[in-house]
Amino acid sequence: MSSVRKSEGWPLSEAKARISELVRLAQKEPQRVQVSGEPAGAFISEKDLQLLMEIKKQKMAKMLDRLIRSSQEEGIHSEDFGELRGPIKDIELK
Amino acid sequence: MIIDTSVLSPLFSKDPKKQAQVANFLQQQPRILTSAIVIMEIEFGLQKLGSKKVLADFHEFLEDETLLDIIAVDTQITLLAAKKRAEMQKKGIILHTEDLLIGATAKMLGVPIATQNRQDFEPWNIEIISPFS
Repeated sequence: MSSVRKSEGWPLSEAKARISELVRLAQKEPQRVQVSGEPAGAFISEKDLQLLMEIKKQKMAKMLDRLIRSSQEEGIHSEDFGELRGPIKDIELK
Repeated sequence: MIIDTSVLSPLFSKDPKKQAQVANFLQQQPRILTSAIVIMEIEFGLQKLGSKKVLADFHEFLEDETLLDIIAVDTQITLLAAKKRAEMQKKGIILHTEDLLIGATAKMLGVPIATQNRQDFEPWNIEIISPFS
């Protein structure tokens, strides 16, 4: 049973009932939780969470760097965008 | 918080300091939420200038759901925006559709708005964050 859970995840009701065990097992590897049979979330260790957040931060930094560099290389700048919103129709003042 | 166009667009500023400011601010956020309307405005700006490279990179940024959460305009948002438009019109204040929909998105989610145009979002009674001042 536990090998099935490992790959497919714990049903939410079971995860609720066995939360301490999930947190303990999560120290070794992430424990997936399913809602209505679909993967919906997971318990992970603090160490894994820190790593995940760091990777996410690096990924974001890389993407933003790329956008900044492209903007400078292509000479495309927000100062030249002009008005980005649609026009407001003049209203008649009574 | 919802990121407004005025906070995201200086990522493409001529001034590298302003670009870095946006990048630093965005990197500090655990999650970046924005409205599909903000995406429309940035896309419009890039299209007007005939961008190819920045546009392609921007599209890649949009497609990565792990980087950006784009909130679509749904019925609830349009109803909130319409109600606010009527309320403000009675006071003789005309708001841009775009700002109304962005404001309504923040209101619906119950999150602050990060903007450089405070006055555009004041009618909403939501927390307004000015990240670069």
